[in-house]
This record gives sequence, structure tokens and C-alpha cells, in this order.
Amino acid sequence: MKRNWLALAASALMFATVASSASCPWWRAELGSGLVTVNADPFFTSFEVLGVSYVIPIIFALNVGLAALFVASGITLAVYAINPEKGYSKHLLSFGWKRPLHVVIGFLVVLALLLYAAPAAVNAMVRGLAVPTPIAPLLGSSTIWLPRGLLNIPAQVAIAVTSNFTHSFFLGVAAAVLSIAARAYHRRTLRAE
Amino acid sequence: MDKVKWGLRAVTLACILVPLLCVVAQYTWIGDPLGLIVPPQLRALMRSASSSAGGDLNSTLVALGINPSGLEMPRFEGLTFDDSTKTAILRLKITNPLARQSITINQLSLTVKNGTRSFTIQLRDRVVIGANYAGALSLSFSSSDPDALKSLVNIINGVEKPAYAGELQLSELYVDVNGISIRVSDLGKISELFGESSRRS
Repeated sequence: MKRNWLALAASALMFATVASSASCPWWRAELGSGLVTVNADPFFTSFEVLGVSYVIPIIFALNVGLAALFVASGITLAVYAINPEKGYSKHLLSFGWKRPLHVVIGFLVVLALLLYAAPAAVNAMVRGLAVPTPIAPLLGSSTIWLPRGLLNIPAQVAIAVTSNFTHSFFLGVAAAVLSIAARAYHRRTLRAE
Repeated sequence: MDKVKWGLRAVTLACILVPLLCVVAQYTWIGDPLGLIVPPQLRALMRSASSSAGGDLNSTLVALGINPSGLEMPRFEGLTFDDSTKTAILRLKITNPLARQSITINQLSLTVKNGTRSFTIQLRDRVVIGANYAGALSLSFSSSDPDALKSLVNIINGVEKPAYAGELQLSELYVDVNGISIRVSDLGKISELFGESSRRS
């Protein structure tokens, strides 16, 4: 009996990605040393200010929905991997393999829009405001210089910003790569028949 | 086969719509659509602020992770010079008002000027003040010119009163607290800043 091991590995990685997201967000940005932390994740997004964690309800609902969909896709991919030759398997594969790719690309697009487009839009709408663009680096560290007049003190104030992608993100990328490979492998198995 | 296809489409719709509708329905039911985009803790604060005149500031601060009783300026306790380590030790009474966040002083340096002469003082070690900490704290400073630092300590404590004491100026202050750095080019004269403590001693 044939098995699509790549699909099985992809599905296992999809479950691992969701589980990992619960404890470690895909992307984390820190303003100051833990003063403000932004935890961006397709399955659990939150932010912390002075150690207090905040969750936006509508984003939480979208995260829960996406996590459920991701897990469902993982299950269908696992079922397909065990029986790739069944008539319904093509639909299962079609449902499952694209999900990690969509989530990874969608996450990067939303993140880039928030970092680059949102500050530019705010600056265009509010005159006199100079929100740095990007507001935080996608990866690495930078410094936000506050405008001199903002705090009304004769001092230069700067805030260190650091951001990085965590292992959860790379698990998601690995799941996407493996699911693409699983799709390609399915084509080969069909050709062999 | 169509059943599988439609079944999977139904799963997609259910996964996205069920949590979304639950949250939308919850906030629509209680008549608070703004609650959808504002975290519950902040929404509660907004509501309390708008319902009572000015709101309860203390509960607002507590919800934001700030201990209201800890909102105090650091109090000067003493300044000594340790001859063995050539360092000045500044003792302060400090209260960390942050209930869940420590305060870390990563760097602190400044320049003392007397006409054309100047020397720099810097914090020797990083200082970490734990969340909710209240008590005395010692900050140890070193300098490129330990003798000048010792004289400065004596001037601030009122032990020495040279003629130039009134002209000593502090400048180029650089402080890095929790990744927030503040740079001030001119702080003014020491006599104005430490006048009170000098008079006391």
C-alpha cells in the first residue's frame, strides 16, 4: 500500500506549529527591554505593556478560526497521506496542502503592511506626526527617536526596538515546504500508475 | 466525491465563521461593539472613566500594571567615596511602581566640567530593580579621574568648599533605562542640583 510520507510529515509539522504558537509567537517585537511586547502570530496574537497582556477580541476570534482551519487541514493531509490512492484523497490533499503556504504568505503580507503601510498612512492622515516607517524592523534591532518637542524636555529620547522570527515561524515555513513537496510527490505517484 | 468537496468547504466556513460570529454576537448582545477591537482590560477602564467623574485613578493604574503607592521620586540617602575601589557610592531610596516589570538601569554616565577641565563619571554595573521593589539601593560610579571624583563627592557632601565649587557643571548625561535612552547635553550647575543635600550636610 502506498503512503505519502511527505504529506504525513507536513501534517505532523502543522500540528507542531499550532502547538508551538501557543507558547511562542511567530514574530516578536520588543520596545525597550520588555516595556512593550508585540506577539504577532496567525494563531495567537497579543501584546504586553508593562508586563500586562492584552488580547483584541476580534483578532482572537480570527486566530482561533485560523488555528481550527490549520488543524483541520493537518488532519485531512494525514488522512490523505495514509490512503493517497483513494478517490476522495485528491480533495483531501487539495484542501490540506495549500493551507500552510497561505498562512505563511498571508502572515508575512499582513506583518509587512502593519510595519510599513500603517505608519505611512498615519503620517499622511495626521499632520505634524512623524511615526517612523517601518515602526519596527521586520528582523533585527533599531532605535526610534522621539521628536524633541514631544515630551517637552530639553533631551533626546530614544527607544530600542528589537524584533525576531521565532522557531514557531520556521516550523510553519517547514510545514509549507513539506506540503508543497507532498503535492509534487502526489503527481509523481499518479504518473507511476 | 462532491460530498467530500462540499464537506471540506463547510469545514472551512465553520472554522472561520463560528468563532467570529460568537465574538461578534457576544459584544453585540451586550451593546458594546467597540469591545470587539479594544482589549477587555482597556475597555473596562474606558467604561469606568466615562461613567464616574474622572474615574478611579488607582484602579486604572492597577489594571495597567502600575502600583499607585509606588509612584514616588527616588530619595537621596547618601553619597560616599570608597578609597579601596576608587568608586563613589550613591544610596537612594527607590520604589518601583511597576507591578510586573523590573526596571533596569543599563547605563548612566555624565561629564563634570570646571571651566576647561572635565571628567566623566559612569555607572560601574547594571542595576536591576525588581517589580514592586521598595527600599534602599546603592549605585556605584567610577571615573577616569578618581581624585576628581573624590573631590566631587566631598563638595556635594559639603566637606570641601573650594572657590570653583559653585561653577561646577554637569553635562552630557546619558541614561539607558529598560532600553529607553535619554541624552541631555546640559544639566546645569551642581550647586543648583545638589544645593539642598549640601546644605543639609
